[in-house]
Amino acid sequence: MLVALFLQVFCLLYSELHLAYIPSGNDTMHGFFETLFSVNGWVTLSSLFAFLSSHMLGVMLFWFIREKSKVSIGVSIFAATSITHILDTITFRLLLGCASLFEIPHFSSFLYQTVDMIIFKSAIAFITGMLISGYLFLSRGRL
Amino acid sequence: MFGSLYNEILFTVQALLSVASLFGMFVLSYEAISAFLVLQFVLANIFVTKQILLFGVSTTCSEVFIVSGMYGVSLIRDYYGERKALQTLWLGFSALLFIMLLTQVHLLYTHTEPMAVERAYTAIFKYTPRIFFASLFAYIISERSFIICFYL
Repeated sequence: MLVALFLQVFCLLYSELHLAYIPSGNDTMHGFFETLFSVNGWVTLSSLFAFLSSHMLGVMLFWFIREKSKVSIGVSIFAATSITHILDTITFRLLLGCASLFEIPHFSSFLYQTVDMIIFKSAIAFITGMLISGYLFLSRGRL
Repeated sequence: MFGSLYNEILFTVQALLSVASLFGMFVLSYEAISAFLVLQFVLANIFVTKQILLFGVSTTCSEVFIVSGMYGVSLIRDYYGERKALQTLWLGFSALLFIMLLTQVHLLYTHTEPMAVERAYTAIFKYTPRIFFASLFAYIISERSFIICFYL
C-alpha cells in the first residue's frame, strides 16, 4: 500500500517535471503532453482520495457482510464491490466537478452520467463476484 | 540567473529525485525496487517522444530513467543475484507489452471526449508498439554485446 502510494506520487511529480522542461525547436509533442498531463495533478489527487476512502470502507463492508449475515461469498463480494464502486465513482466525480475539470452544463446530465457509470460498475462487480465465487467453488477441494 | 540552464537544473532535480527514490525502494524490499524500476521503464517509454535541449545537445526527457534504471538493475544484480535482475527486466518488458496493448485498445474506442484530448492520446500512444519493439531489440543487442565484451 505504501509502495503503491509512493509510486503514484512519483508519477505525479514526474509528469509535472516532464511538462516543466522547455522543448527543443524541433519538438512537436509538448502540446499533446500538456493537453493530457496538465490536469494530472487533480486527477491523481481525486483518484487517490476516492480510492483510499472507498476501498477502506469496502474491506470493512466485506467483513461485516460476511461475518454478520453469513451469506455466500459471491453475494458478499458483489455487495461489497458494488457499494465500494458506487462510492468511488460518486467521490471521484464530485471531486473532479469541484475542481471544474469537467464542464457540468446541467446538473441533470451530470446525474445521468453518474447513474450510467454506477450501473456499468455494478454490472462489472456482478461479473467479478460470479467469477470469484465460481473459482472458489471449483477449487474448494484443493484449497 | 539560471534562465539558460533551466532544463539542466530540472534534469539535476529529476536525477536526484530518481536516485533518492530508487535508494528508498531498495531499502524497503526487492519487490519495492522491482516495482519502481518497472514503473520507470514504462514512464521512460511513454515520455521518450518529447525532445529537449540539454547542455546544447538535443535529447529526450527519458535519459534520467536510463541512468537510474541501469543503476537499479546493477543494485539488484549485486544484492539479489543475476536471476532476479533478469526477472525485473522481463517484468518491465511485460508491463510495457501490457501498456502497448492497452493503449492500442484505448485508441480504438469511439470517444465522447473533446477532440483535443483525443488527438493528444493518438499522437502520444500511436508510437507505443514501435517503441516497444525498438526497446526490446535494443535491450537484446546490448545485453548480448555486454556478455561478449565481458568474456573477451
